[in-house]
Amino acid sequence: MWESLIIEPFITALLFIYDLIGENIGLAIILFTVIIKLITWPLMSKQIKSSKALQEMQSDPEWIEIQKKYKNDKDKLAQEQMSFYKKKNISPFASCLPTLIQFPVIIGLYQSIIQTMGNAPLQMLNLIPKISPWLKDLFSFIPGLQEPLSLIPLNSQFLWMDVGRPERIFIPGISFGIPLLAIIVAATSFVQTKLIASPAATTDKQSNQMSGMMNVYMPLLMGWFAYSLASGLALYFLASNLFSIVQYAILGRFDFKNLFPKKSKEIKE
Amino acid sequence: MKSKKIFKSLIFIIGILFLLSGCTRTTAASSWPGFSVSEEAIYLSCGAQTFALDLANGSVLWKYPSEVDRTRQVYAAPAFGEELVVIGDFNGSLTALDLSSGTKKWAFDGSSDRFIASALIDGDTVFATNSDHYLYALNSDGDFLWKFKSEGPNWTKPISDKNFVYFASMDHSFYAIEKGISENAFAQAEDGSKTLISDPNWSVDLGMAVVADPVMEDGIVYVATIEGALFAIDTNKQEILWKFTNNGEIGSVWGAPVVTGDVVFVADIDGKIYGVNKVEGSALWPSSFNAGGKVVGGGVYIDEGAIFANDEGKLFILNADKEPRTITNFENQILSPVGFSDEKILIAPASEDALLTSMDLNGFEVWSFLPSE
Repeated sequence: MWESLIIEPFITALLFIYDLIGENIGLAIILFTVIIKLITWPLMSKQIKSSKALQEMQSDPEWIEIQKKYKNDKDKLAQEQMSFYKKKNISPFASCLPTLIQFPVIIGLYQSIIQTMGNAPLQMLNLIPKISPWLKDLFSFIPGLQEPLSLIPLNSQFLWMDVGRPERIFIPGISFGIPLLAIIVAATSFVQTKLIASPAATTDKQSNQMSGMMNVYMPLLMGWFAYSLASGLALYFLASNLFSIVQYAILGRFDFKNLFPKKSKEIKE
Repeated sequence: MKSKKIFKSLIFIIGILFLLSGCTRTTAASSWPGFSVSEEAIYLSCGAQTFALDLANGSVLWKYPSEVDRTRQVYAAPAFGEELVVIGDFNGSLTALDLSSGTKKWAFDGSSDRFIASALIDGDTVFATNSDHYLYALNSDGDFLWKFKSEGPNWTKPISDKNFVYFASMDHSFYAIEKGISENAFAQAEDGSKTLISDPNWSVDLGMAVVADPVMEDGIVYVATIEGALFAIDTNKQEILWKFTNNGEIGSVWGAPVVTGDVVFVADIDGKIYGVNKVEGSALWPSSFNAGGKVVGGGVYIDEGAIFANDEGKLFILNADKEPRTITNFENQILSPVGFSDEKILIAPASEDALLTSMDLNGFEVWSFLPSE
């Protein structure tokens, strides 16, 4: 089910783009990521708007007043919070539901990129049955496209990297390879998570803590994955991060203050 | 308070790792066990270690390395000669071990990618193909002699005759390179040394990538592609004798063809087996034999017919009249080629109970081997 609904169409699309643009796997991954991001744009926009509404609520004087008033009565505070959501037309689930819907797409994209590279026998063995006969017919519609199986093995070179292996750039005079792509992925992940995070301190200490952890650990984790896994996946992370940043900018959520916030002031009781 | 924060951080990291680990397959096994069989021993590679096992009872003669090295991945069947066992690994090292003791004699680290296929020990020369597009030639002391660059990764075992070494590549070509090439024919390699053979003596275009080992008999090479075409190549005439696709019906071929007196058996990952007339390249049967599951590893020929295993664990013999006999049914997937020696069938099922099993022709287990770690 998962394979036929998600993985096979994704692999087909990836191979199709690869063939169409002249067998450049790096560009194919970037283009494919952009197409998937464009398809999921409405979901992402909804998520961004909802999270914005939730953030703005944290600095709403009325909500701060409610928090102060019921700080010793958690049940009442929860009730008032729900009423506040209703009054302001905020749906707290609207910010996480799109993420849940997008999640299978992201995982599928991730798996298809790994499988399409097919640089070990088991991966290749799994890849070949997914290039089904009907795919040949699809490819035959466009003149100049090769038969899908003849594309194997994919040309794994893109710029200085082999997309099937972790990326390192070697600079004369330096004895070790520098993981440039991993550094860029970590940096763009940092920018992206800072844009998602609340610019101002909220009254909720716990969510502030979580947000702080997210800002630090998420970029490090993404950087680590880009460092240790095939660079094709790092390209996907980078394209995905850059697209999300552009999306934030287009939706009016790009604010440099989020990246370099002043030390937050404690909300006085 | 501080410990609570650390605890939350840990939970968060574990959660993220758990979610993302589900997406990555790079940590899982990336191939299946490879083994080769002599008259007395079996040489088996299966991830971190290589074992020499006594053919009679499956006892461990030696293992290399002696302790499990998790950074090492070796799946290609070890090649053995009179004194050496040569193993190529996924880290790009080709290691030679003493045949009787398993002690390391030398290692070649001049490649830049994985050794997927078995090496070939041909007299005093070791030939090994690599995913970095090269075929390497070393002497029996491990000294690098020369290399030849194809246009794509190489996943098949080289074969040889008196004068040439041959291999099929994923670049769609089958190459022949003269073993006794004169030094004048060498071009300059990247390191400045004159060790690169820039052109093969001859080659033929197979139209698709090859991952199945070629087989040679009486100067004819039988080789099949991932598209499902079986070729017979005459090495004397340096041309394709025939091509068999059964009207495009054959699926992707991963196992070496099984060549017998008059017949070539070829199996595909769609689970079909074809009997092909060796001389004419025509189908022996009106329809293919349904193996009931993917056939990935190559088969082996005995008097009764060709023995194959499918990925659902069925082990069977098929004769030239398309008459099958089931030997046994395992509950485990079998992707490795079938081995045969001293009237015993050897298979490597993907099982928690056995890495390698020896059985008689009626499917009764003689012994099975499972590493202690």
